Amino acid sequence: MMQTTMRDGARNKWRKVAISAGIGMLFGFAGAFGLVRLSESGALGSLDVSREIAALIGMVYIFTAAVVGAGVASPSIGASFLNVEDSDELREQRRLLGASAVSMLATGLALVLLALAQPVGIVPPAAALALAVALLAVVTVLGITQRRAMDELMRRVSLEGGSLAFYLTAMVGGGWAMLAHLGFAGAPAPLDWLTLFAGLLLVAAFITCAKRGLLAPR
Amino acid sequence: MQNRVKHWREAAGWSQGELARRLGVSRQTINAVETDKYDPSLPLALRMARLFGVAVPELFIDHWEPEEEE
Repeated sequence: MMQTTMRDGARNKWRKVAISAGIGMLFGFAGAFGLVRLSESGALGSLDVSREIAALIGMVYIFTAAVVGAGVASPSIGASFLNVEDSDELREQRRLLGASAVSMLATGLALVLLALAQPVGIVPPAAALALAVALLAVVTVLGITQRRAMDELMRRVSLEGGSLAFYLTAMVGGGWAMLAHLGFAGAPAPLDWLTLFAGLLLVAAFITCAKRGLLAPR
Repeated sequence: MQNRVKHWREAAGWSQGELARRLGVSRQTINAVETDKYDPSLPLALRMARLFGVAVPELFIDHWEPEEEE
Protein backbone atom coordinates (compact mmCIF):
# COMPACT_ATOMS: atom_id res chain seq x y z
CA MET A 1 0.00 0.00 0.00
CA MET A 2 2.75 2.40 1.07
CA GLN A 3 4.91 1.33 -1.90
CA THR A 4 2.00 2.01 -4.26
CA THR A 5 1.54 5.50 -2.80
CA MET A 6 5.27 6.21 -3.19
CA ARG A 7 5.20 4.93 -6.78
CA ASP A 8 2.17 7.14 -7.53
CA GLY A 9 3.96 10.12 -5.97
CA ALA A 10 7.08 9.52 -8.07
CA ARG A 11 4.94 9.06 -11.19
CA ASN A 12 3.12 12.35 -10.49
CA LYS A 13 6.43 14.16 -10.02
CA TRP A 14 7.78 12.97 -13.35
CA ARG A 15 4.47 13.62 -15.10
CA LYS A 16 4.72 17.21 -13.90
CA VAL A 17 8.30 17.43 -15.21
CA ALA A 18 7.14 16.04 -18.57
CA ILE A 19 4.24 18.52 -18.78
CA SER A 20 6.55 21.46 -17.93
CA ALA A 21 9.19 20.31 -20.43
CA GLY A 22 6.50 19.78 -23.08
CA ILE A 23 4.99 23.24 -22.56
CA GLY A 24 8.47 24.79 -22.58
CA MET A 25 9.55 23.03 -25.77
CA LEU A 26 6.27 23.74 -27.57
CA PHE A 27 6.13 27.45 -26.74
CA GLY A 28 9.92 27.84 -27.08
CA PHE A 29 9.86 26.35 -30.57
CA ALA A 30 6.71 28.29 -31.56
CA GLY A 31 8.17 31.54 -30.20
CA ALA A 32 11.55 31.15 -31.88
CA PHE A 33 9.97 30.00 -35.16
CA GLY A 34 7.47 32.89 -35.10
CA LEU A 35 10.17 35.46 -34.39
CA VAL A 36 12.45 34.21 -37.17
CA ARG A 37 9.53 34.16 -39.65
CA LEU A 38 8.46 37.67 -38.64
CA SER A 39 12.03 38.89 -38.89
CA GLU A 40 12.45 37.32 -42.35
CA SER A 41 9.17 38.86 -43.54
CA GLY A 42 10.51 42.32 -42.75
CA ALA A 43 7.52 43.12 -40.48
CA LEU A 44 9.94 43.90 -37.61
CA GLY A 45 12.41 45.81 -39.79
CA SER A 46 15.66 44.19 -40.85
CA LEU A 47 16.92 42.72 -37.59
CA ASP A 48 20.51 41.51 -37.40
CA VAL A 49 21.62 38.45 -35.38
CA SER A 50 22.38 40.58 -32.32
CA ARG A 51 18.81 41.94 -32.24
CA GLU A 52 17.27 38.54 -32.95
CA ILE A 53 19.12 36.96 -30.01
CA ALA A 54 18.11 39.86 -27.73
CA ALA A 55 14.47 39.45 -28.78
CA LEU A 56 14.67 35.68 -28.21
CA ILE A 57 16.09 36.10 -24.70
CA GLY A 58 13.38 38.69 -24.05
CA MET A 59 10.77 36.19 -25.18
CA VAL A 60 12.19 33.52 -22.84
CA TYR A 61 11.65 36.00 -19.99
CA ILE A 62 8.12 36.81 -21.19
CA PHE A 63 7.24 33.14 -21.57
CA THR A 64 8.60 32.25 -18.12
CA ALA A 65 6.67 35.19 -16.64
CA ALA A 66 3.48 33.99 -18.35
CA VAL A 67 3.89 30.45 -16.98
CA VAL A 68 4.58 31.64 -13.41
CA GLY A 69 1.85 34.30 -13.66
CA ALA A 70 -0.69 31.72 -14.84
CA GLY A 71 0.27 29.46 -11.93
CA VAL A 72 -0.12 32.28 -9.41
CA ALA A 73 -3.44 33.38 -10.94
CA SER A 74 -4.81 29.85 -10.77
CA PRO A 75 -2.90 27.85 -8.13
CA SER A 76 -4.93 24.65 -8.62
CA ILE A 77 -3.91 24.52 -12.30
CA GLY A 78 -0.45 25.97 -11.63
CA ALA A 79 0.35 23.11 -9.24
CA SER A 80 0.10 20.69 -12.18
CA PHE A 81 2.99 22.27 -14.08
CA LEU A 82 5.00 24.35 -11.59
CA ASN A 83 7.54 22.69 -9.28
CA VAL A 84 5.56 22.95 -6.04
CA GLU A 85 4.18 20.39 -3.62
CA ASP A 86 0.56 21.51 -4.00
CA SER A 87 -1.64 24.49 -4.82
CA ASP A 88 -1.41 25.79 -1.24
CA GLU A 89 2.32 26.30 -1.68
CA LEU A 90 1.55 28.57 -4.63
CA ARG A 91 -0.93 30.50 -2.50
CA GLU A 92 1.68 30.87 0.27
CA GLN A 93 4.21 32.17 -2.26
CA ARG A 94 1.74 34.32 -4.20
CA ARG A 95 3.29 37.68 -3.30
CA LEU A 96 6.85 36.64 -4.14
CA LEU A 97 5.98 34.71 -7.30
CA GLY A 98 3.56 37.41 -8.51
CA ALA A 99 6.23 40.09 -8.15
CA SER A 100 8.75 37.79 -9.82
CA ALA A 101 6.42 37.16 -12.79
CA VAL A 102 5.77 40.88 -13.34
CA SER A 103 9.47 41.63 -12.95
CA MET A 104 10.41 39.00 -15.56
CA LEU A 105 7.70 40.27 -17.89
CA ALA A 106 9.04 43.82 -17.62
CA THR A 107 12.64 42.65 -18.23
CA GLY A 108 11.58 40.64 -21.27
CA LEU A 109 9.50 43.47 -22.73
CA ALA A 110 12.36 45.93 -22.24
CA LEU A 111 14.76 43.64 -24.09
CA VAL A 112 12.31 43.03 -26.95
CA LEU A 113 11.60 46.78 -27.24
CA LEU A 114 15.32 47.58 -27.41
CA ALA A 115 15.83 44.83 -29.99
CA LEU A 116 13.07 46.28 -32.13
CA ALA A 117 14.28 49.89 -31.92
CA GLN A 118 15.10 51.92 -35.01
CA PRO A 119 17.14 52.50 -37.15
CA VAL A 120 16.81 48.89 -38.32
CA GLY A 121 13.79 48.03 -36.15
CA ILE A 122 10.31 49.54 -36.01
CA VAL A 123 10.18 51.28 -32.60
CA PRO A 124 11.32 54.95 -32.47
CA PRO A 125 14.46 55.18 -30.25
CA ALA A 126 12.97 57.81 -27.90
CA ALA A 127 9.88 55.66 -27.30
CA ALA A 128 12.02 52.54 -26.82
CA LEU A 129 14.21 54.39 -24.31
CA ALA A 130 11.29 55.85 -22.34
CA LEU A 131 9.49 52.51 -22.17
CA ALA A 132 12.63 50.52 -21.35
CA VAL A 133 13.55 52.93 -18.52
CA ALA A 134 9.98 52.75 -17.15
CA LEU A 135 10.03 48.95 -17.31
CA LEU A 136 13.42 48.73 -15.61
CA ALA A 137 12.14 51.10 -12.90
CA VAL A 138 9.30 48.61 -12.34
CA VAL A 139 11.89 45.81 -12.08
CA THR A 140 13.84 47.82 -9.49
CA VAL A 141 10.79 48.59 -7.33
CA LEU A 142 9.60 44.98 -7.54
CA GLY A 143 13.10 43.78 -6.64
CA ILE A 144 12.85 45.71 -3.36
CA THR A 145 9.32 44.36 -2.76
CA GLN A 146 10.50 40.81 -3.49
CA ARG A 147 13.41 41.12 -1.09
CA ARG A 148 11.00 41.96 1.73
CA ALA A 149 8.89 38.89 0.93
CA MET A 150 11.88 36.52 0.77
CA ASP A 151 12.85 34.14 3.52
CA GLU A 152 16.50 33.32 4.23
CA LEU A 153 16.82 30.59 1.59
CA MET A 154 15.49 32.82 -1.18
CA ARG A 155 17.75 35.67 -0.05
CA ARG A 156 20.71 33.29 -0.24
CA VAL A 157 19.66 32.05 -3.69
CA SER A 158 19.25 35.65 -4.84
CA LEU A 159 22.72 36.61 -3.56
CA GLU A 160 24.42 33.52 -5.00
CA GLY A 161 22.60 33.94 -8.32
CA GLY A 162 23.64 37.59 -8.57
CA SER A 163 27.23 36.74 -7.72
CA LEU A 164 27.39 33.88 -10.24
CA ALA A 165 25.77 36.09 -12.91
CA PHE A 166 28.52 38.66 -12.37
CA TYR A 167 31.29 36.08 -12.81
CA LEU A 168 29.60 34.54 -15.87
CA THR A 169 29.19 37.98 -17.45
CA ALA A 170 32.79 38.86 -16.64
CA MET A 171 33.95 35.57 -18.17
CA VAL A 172 31.78 35.58 -21.32
CA GLY A 173 31.57 39.35 -21.90
CA GLY A 174 35.12 39.94 -20.73
CA GLY A 175 36.43 37.11 -22.91
CA TRP A 176 34.55 38.46 -25.91
CA ALA A 177 35.83 42.01 -25.26
CA MET A 178 39.38 40.67 -24.95
CA LEU A 179 39.12 38.79 -28.26
CA ALA A 180 37.63 41.89 -29.91
CA HIS A 181 40.36 44.12 -28.48
CA LEU A 182 43.02 41.85 -29.96
CA GLY A 183 41.28 41.67 -33.31
CA PHE A 184 40.21 38.01 -33.12
CA ALA A 185 36.47 38.81 -33.10
CA GLY A 186 34.02 41.61 -33.77
CA ALA A 187 33.32 43.84 -30.76
CA PRO A 188 30.11 43.15 -28.82
CA ALA A 189 27.38 45.67 -29.66
CA PRO A 190 25.81 47.65 -26.78
CA LEU A 191 22.68 45.49 -27.15
CA ASP A 192 24.85 42.35 -26.83
CA TRP A 193 25.87 43.51 -23.36
CA LEU A 194 22.23 43.92 -22.32
CA THR A 195 21.47 40.46 -23.74
CA LEU A 196 24.45 39.03 -21.85
CA PHE A 197 23.28 40.59 -18.57
CA ALA A 198 19.75 39.24 -18.95
CA GLY A 199 20.67 35.86 -20.43
CA LEU A 200 23.46 35.03 -18.02
CA LEU A 201 21.36 36.15 -15.05
CA LEU A 202 18.80 33.56 -16.12
CA VAL A 203 21.52 30.89 -16.49
CA ALA A 204 22.93 31.80 -13.07
CA ALA A 205 19.47 31.63 -11.49
CA PHE A 206 18.93 28.13 -12.88
CA ILE A 207 22.34 26.91 -11.71
CA THR A 208 21.83 28.36 -8.22
CA CYS A 209 18.31 26.97 -7.91
CA ALA A 210 19.55 23.53 -9.02
CA LYS A 211 22.41 23.66 -6.48
CA ARG A 212 19.96 24.42 -3.67
CA GLY A 213 17.61 21.61 -4.74
CA LEU A 214 14.84 23.92 -5.94
CA LEU A 215 14.62 22.22 -9.34
CA ALA A 216 14.31 18.69 -7.93
CA PRO A 217 10.87 17.36 -8.91
CA ARG A 218 8.38 17.74 -6.06
CA MET B 1 26.01 19.33 7.00
CA GLN B 2 23.94 16.30 7.99
CA ASN B 3 20.81 16.96 9.96
CA ARG B 4 17.91 15.17 11.62
CA VAL B 5 15.26 17.78 10.94
CA LYS B 6 13.08 15.34 8.99
CA HIS B 7 13.29 12.81 11.83
CA TRP B 8 12.19 15.33 14.46
CA ARG B 9 9.55 16.87 12.19
CA GLU B 10 7.99 13.48 11.52
CA ALA B 11 8.21 12.59 15.21
CA ALA B 12 6.21 15.74 15.92
CA GLY B 13 3.67 14.68 13.27
CA TRP B 14 4.14 17.83 11.19
CA SER B 15 4.25 18.22 7.45
CA GLN B 16 6.95 20.39 5.85
CA GLY B 17 4.27 23.05 5.37
CA GLU B 18 3.31 22.97 9.04
CA LEU B 19 6.92 23.29 10.19
CA ALA B 20 7.51 26.09 7.67
CA ARG B 21 4.45 27.94 8.97
CA ARG B 22 5.59 27.60 12.60
CA LEU B 23 9.07 28.90 11.72
CA GLY B 24 7.90 31.64 9.37
CA VAL B 25 9.83 30.35 6.36
CA SER B 26 8.84 28.76 3.05
CA ARG B 27 8.31 25.03 2.51
CA GLN B 28 11.20 25.17 0.04
CA THR B 29 13.50 26.18 2.88
CA ILE B 30 12.45 23.20 5.01
CA ASN B 31 12.81 20.90 1.99
CA ALA B 32 16.26 22.30 1.17
CA VAL B 33 17.41 21.86 4.78
CA GLU B 34 16.09 18.31 5.02
CA THR B 35 17.78 17.30 1.78
CA ASP B 36 21.11 18.82 2.89
CA LYS B 37 21.01 21.44 0.14
CA TYR B 38 21.00 24.35 2.55
CA ASP B 39 22.40 24.93 6.03
CA PRO B 40 20.06 27.27 7.90
CA SER B 41 21.23 30.42 9.63
CA LEU B 42 22.07 30.21 13.33
CA PRO B 43 18.81 31.96 14.38
CA LEU B 44 16.73 29.51 12.32
CA ALA B 45 18.68 26.51 13.66
CA LEU B 46 18.09 27.74 17.22
CA ARG B 47 14.36 28.20 16.53
CA MET B 48 14.13 24.70 15.07
CA ALA B 49 15.85 23.21 18.12
CA ARG B 50 13.56 25.15 20.44
CA LEU B 51 10.48 24.04 18.54
CA PHE B 52 11.47 20.37 18.74
CA GLY B 53 12.68 20.70 22.33
CA VAL B 54 16.19 19.43 21.55
CA ALA B 55 19.70 20.88 21.49
CA VAL B 56 21.13 22.15 18.19
CA PRO B 57 23.77 19.36 18.01
CA GLU B 58 20.93 16.82 18.11
CA LEU B 59 19.48 18.42 14.99
CA PHE B 60 22.63 19.28 13.04
CA ILE B 61 25.54 16.87 13.00
CA ASP B 62 29.02 18.20 12.43
CA HIS B 63 31.82 15.61 12.33
CA TRP B 64 34.55 18.16 12.84
CA GLU B 65 36.97 17.44 15.67
CA PRO B 66 39.47 19.94 17.08
CA GLU B 67 43.09 19.12 16.46
CA GLU B 68 44.75 17.66 19.52
CA GLU B 69 47.48 19.85 20.95
CA GLU B 70 50.83 18.17 21.42
